[in-house]
Amino acid sequence: MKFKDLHPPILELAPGQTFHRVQLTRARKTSVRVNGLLLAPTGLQSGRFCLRAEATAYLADSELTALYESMFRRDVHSRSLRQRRCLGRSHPHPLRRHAGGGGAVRVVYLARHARGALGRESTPEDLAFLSEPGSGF
Amino acid sequence: MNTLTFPLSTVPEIPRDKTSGQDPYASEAQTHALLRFGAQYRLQRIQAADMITTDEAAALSGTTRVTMNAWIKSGRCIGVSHLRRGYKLPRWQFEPFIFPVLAPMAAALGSTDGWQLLAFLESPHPALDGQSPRTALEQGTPAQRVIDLATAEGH
Repeated sequence: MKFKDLHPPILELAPGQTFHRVQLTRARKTSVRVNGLLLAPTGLQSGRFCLRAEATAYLADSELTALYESMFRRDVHSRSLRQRRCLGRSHPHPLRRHAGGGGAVRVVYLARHARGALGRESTPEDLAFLSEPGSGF
Repeated sequence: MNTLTFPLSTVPEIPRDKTSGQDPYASEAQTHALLRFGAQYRLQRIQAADMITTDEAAALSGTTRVTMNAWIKSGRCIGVSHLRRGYKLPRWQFEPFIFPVLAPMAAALGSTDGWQLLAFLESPHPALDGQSPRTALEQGTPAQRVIDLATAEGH
């Protein structure tokens, strides 16, 4: 069964929303660069929503969510924050899940409640797939 | 197919308990306690039974202490230090299933810092069904898969 066969609702975010992402301060040779975002190379499939053939950007709706999801979600005792910064970007156009895929980059939106007040692991239902042809990211 | 407008664009603030009036950020005392806890963790980890000295590691791998220090600095093997008491090295890194992976893994992570390498290898990873990369390697996961995850971690 394919994801789109489930007919999930389309989620749309109004323009002007600011997204946050923790990323490297300097790009590496293998980084995928998309309008200021520095992404891991395509096809590594390290996250739950990574695709084999598209770069994936994980964006959060707050700095704390970005930090939690990118740095502290895993059960780690030690974590280095060196060479990282929290990037805030707003988008000029509505963002919505692109049903057909195929955009330059797949954006996974990390909603505030995904962080969880008790630090619980987020579930797939907490997250919304978004891609944004021509939205400015 | 339904289209929903997500309401979060109207509430861009960081969530906080406005009714209590408390500062949502950690206090200086809490920050100090956290840093103390981190130092305590490192001390406990470095004193764990699986950690050996550079001399013991050199004997185990058939090299010299000088070579071992050079390997640590280049990321070819993992050495951690705490409070300038010299390096300690996890013994299991010299097992054949993991030693060849260390150098490319360090390059993928973009770091030769021993604590960073150790934390990556010993932390559960969702992409490995919750296993740590070290355990996954021991149980036969292809080394390239772990190196790919290290590359993603390094970004």
